[in-house]
Amino acid sequence: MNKLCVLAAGVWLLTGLTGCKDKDEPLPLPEEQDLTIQNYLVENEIDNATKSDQDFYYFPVVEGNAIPNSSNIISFYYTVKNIDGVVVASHTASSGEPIKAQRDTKTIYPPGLDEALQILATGDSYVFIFPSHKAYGSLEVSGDLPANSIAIIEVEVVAEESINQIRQKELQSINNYIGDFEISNNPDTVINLISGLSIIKTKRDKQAAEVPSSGTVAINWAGKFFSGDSFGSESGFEVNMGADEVITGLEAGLNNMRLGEEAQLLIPSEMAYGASVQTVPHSAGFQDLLIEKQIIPDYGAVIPPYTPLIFVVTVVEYQ
Amino acid sequence: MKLFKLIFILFGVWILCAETALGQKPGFVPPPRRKSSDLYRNPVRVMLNQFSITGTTGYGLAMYSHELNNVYFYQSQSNQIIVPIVDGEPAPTGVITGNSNWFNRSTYGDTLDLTNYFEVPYRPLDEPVFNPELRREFSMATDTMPLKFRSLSHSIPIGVVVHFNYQSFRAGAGATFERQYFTSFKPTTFKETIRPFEPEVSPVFFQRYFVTVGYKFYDFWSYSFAGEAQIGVLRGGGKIKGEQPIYDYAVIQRGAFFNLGVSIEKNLSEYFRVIVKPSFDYHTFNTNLTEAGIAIPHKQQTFFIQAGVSINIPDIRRCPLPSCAIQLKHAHNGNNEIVRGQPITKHQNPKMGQNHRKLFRYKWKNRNKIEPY
Repeated sequence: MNKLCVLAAGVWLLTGLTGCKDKDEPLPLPEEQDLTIQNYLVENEIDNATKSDQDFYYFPVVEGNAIPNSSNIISFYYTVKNIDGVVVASHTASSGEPIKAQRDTKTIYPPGLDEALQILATGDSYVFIFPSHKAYGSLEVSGDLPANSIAIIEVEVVAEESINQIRQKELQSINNYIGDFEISNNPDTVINLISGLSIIKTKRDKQAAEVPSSGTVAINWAGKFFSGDSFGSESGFEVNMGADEVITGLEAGLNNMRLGEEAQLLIPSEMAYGASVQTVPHSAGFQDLLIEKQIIPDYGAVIPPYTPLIFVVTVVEYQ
Repeated sequence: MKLFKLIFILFGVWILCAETALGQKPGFVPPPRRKSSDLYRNPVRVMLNQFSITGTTGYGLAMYSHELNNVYFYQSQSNQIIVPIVDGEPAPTGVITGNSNWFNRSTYGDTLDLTNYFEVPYRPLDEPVFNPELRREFSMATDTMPLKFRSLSHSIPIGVVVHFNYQSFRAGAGATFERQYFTSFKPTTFKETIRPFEPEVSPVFFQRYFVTVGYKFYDFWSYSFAGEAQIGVLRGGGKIKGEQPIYDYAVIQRGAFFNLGVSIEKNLSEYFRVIVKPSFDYHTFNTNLTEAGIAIPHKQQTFFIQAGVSINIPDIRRCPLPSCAIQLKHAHNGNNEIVRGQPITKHQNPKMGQNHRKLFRYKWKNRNKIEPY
């Protein structure tokens, strides 16, 4: 009898220690937030919301007539709010040009938005309600949108372009630039490569040795957009030729240069950073935070998606 | 009447005398009663009986920790190195050289490229958002904020101790052999960024040789509680993949180790006891990074829980007569030597009911059988 009591006490203790659960224990965050979103929809009498397979809700504000094509690059405006409707960040028509992004290439942050944008076409304006794991996770966007918050992002797609359309537009910009440059500077040589890269040689030395296809080349470079804004420069920058370390446009340009020569490399986005990275919000401070948290690469905060670049390059030496 | 009374008394006296003299031959003188201390004991056995031999094994949880001070800590995707901070000199940049192992050997010469390959004009990443390649270089100077690493390793100890026992005091010497399995060292700060430090080690074989003192401070029925302290030397052996030694003793300086524990002993007999011993072990050592000119201090603290048996060599031998069924310590007629009637694992002078085997019907496997036989 005594043994039975001891055994029963042991079993009770074990089950008490391992199986005890607080009845008031909160739900896991995704389920709790799903409930919050459902309550939000009811309270705001939104009855046309749909829940996606990726755990976010969406409903249309304006529906355009275009058919979504996820391979196209979209231009859009956005407004980010918290669940209480407080605007955290916005980029609207009054703020300037829409921002671009290529969908389904994991170049958009937050990741939920990458999935959400795939259902949109030109003219569409949708509201997406993301649980925190599809929005900003443990990142604190601002005081109004702290870590692990539900985010509401309203997106208005204003334009859509195919890769070919963008390529043609960039080549047009490059040709215009060359035209203007030739008129004002009368450069020595302009080389147009079939890849779309153009090289304006501003200082030529036909006697100097060509840059080899392998080895280390030291260059001075200064980068700028076609708008004229500079995005960086460096002296004595070493390029390991053939190592695929730098953007293809820069290495291809150096392959057409000689020691001591100076040139402007007009690089289409396909040979530079292509879709790069697009973030919402796309403010510099927020992008710096994402870089610090190692969520996006550094170039994502410098080069917007589908942006042709100009590199002013001098070949200093090679080994 | 008086005569009748006298005859009756004389008859009674005669009866009593007859009763006491029954069975005795005329002139018998009984031998003097022998005391236990008068009986013969082998003096060597008596001396050896003062010693106990204890064998234990169990589990050890070792916590290693070290703090990086006054060094630059650099981390790339494939490497972690430290470089000493030199007053007045700027932090190194580009490709730097330093120590990649500061735990069990001084591995100098590993290089780390601090170049940020995610800046312009380096090539873009495919699928850049949350790309695992982005867990890139990390660096910090530990002159203002120390960087601490901790590791919890598991071990299996096997120990032997010989004690000399005097009343409640004990002193002795022993050895513990320990097979330890390392786990990686986790940082206590910047946990999301700094990867665990993984020195090149493999399961190590520690040998501890020590002297010990103890005092039995409490007895409770058949249980005894004794506090024990050990001090000794520790050395780690073993080779990595059968080639180089795990610990490079050219650069490692080990201090003594200290161990404090409580031995909980169940005395099954005066010669045999089962013990359970929780103890805490403290040890420090330094790894000298000779090329860098610095030393990294390490703490090695281990919690052991061990169980085992302890025996004393009996001061008397077992009764040599195979047919002897005497249960207590005894001496046979004509023999002056006291002998045991029990094996050393059982009560030597059992009371009624002690040392009995558990009946077959009460054994666990038979507990539910109506007819166990």
